[in-house]
Amino acid sequence: MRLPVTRPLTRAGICVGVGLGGFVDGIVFHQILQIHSMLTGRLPADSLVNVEINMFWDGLFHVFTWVMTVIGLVLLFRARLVPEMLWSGKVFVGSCFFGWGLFNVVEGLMNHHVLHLHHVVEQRGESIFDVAFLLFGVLFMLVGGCSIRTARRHAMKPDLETLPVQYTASRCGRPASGPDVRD
Amino acid sequence: MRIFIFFGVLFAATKVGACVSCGSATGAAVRAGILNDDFVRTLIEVAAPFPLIGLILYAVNRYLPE
Repeated sequence: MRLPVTRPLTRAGICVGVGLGGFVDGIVFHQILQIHSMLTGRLPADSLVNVEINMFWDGLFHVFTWVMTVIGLVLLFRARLVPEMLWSGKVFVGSCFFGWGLFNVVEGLMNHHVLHLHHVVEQRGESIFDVAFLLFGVLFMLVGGCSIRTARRHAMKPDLETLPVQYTASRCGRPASGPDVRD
Repeated sequence: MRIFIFFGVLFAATKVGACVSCGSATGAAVRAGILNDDFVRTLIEVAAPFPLIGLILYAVNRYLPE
């Protein structure tokens, strides 16, 4: 019995998750709430010129998240060629959450804490919101990882509902499938 | 053809704003703020998380069970 394959789907899901996580950050925090932009740690959004410069760098940031999403979609399209693929929604959504969390952790650590390009709530500077951003990232990674593991374990378990049927059939001299090789 | 006219009108209209590509004083200030000596450094900093994420993805992919 060959085990179902999940790696291509997981790989694609993580890439899509990183891209969509970046879009959530850009759309919600940069554009709708406007609590920070890409370079507000250095160029506060207090004049039209600074707002426009920040907008330019926000745009480049969105280019990178777009590229990650496209890479994820290409990987997902290619995953269809794998014959033993386990097409599980739990694996894919779990991978997306893992990717989103990964984005939050890496982006949060680098941009908020190492490079200080911006902070989650720029008015407060380095604050509890930056820590919360990281914690949500770790939480998403854990939830995603658990979801992938659960789906894989479930897929690898023998189908308990069909086992008694197969057992009964073989006891009656009728194998569940294939030729009888006992003799 | 219509699409070119549409974008031509759009670009002409943006001349009155403070876009990066237009010739207003604010536009020039924005351009100067972007294309300064720190441009390459800022570009690397903005892009920095993505190569790192790529490396992590590579490692995850390498050690992930099939």
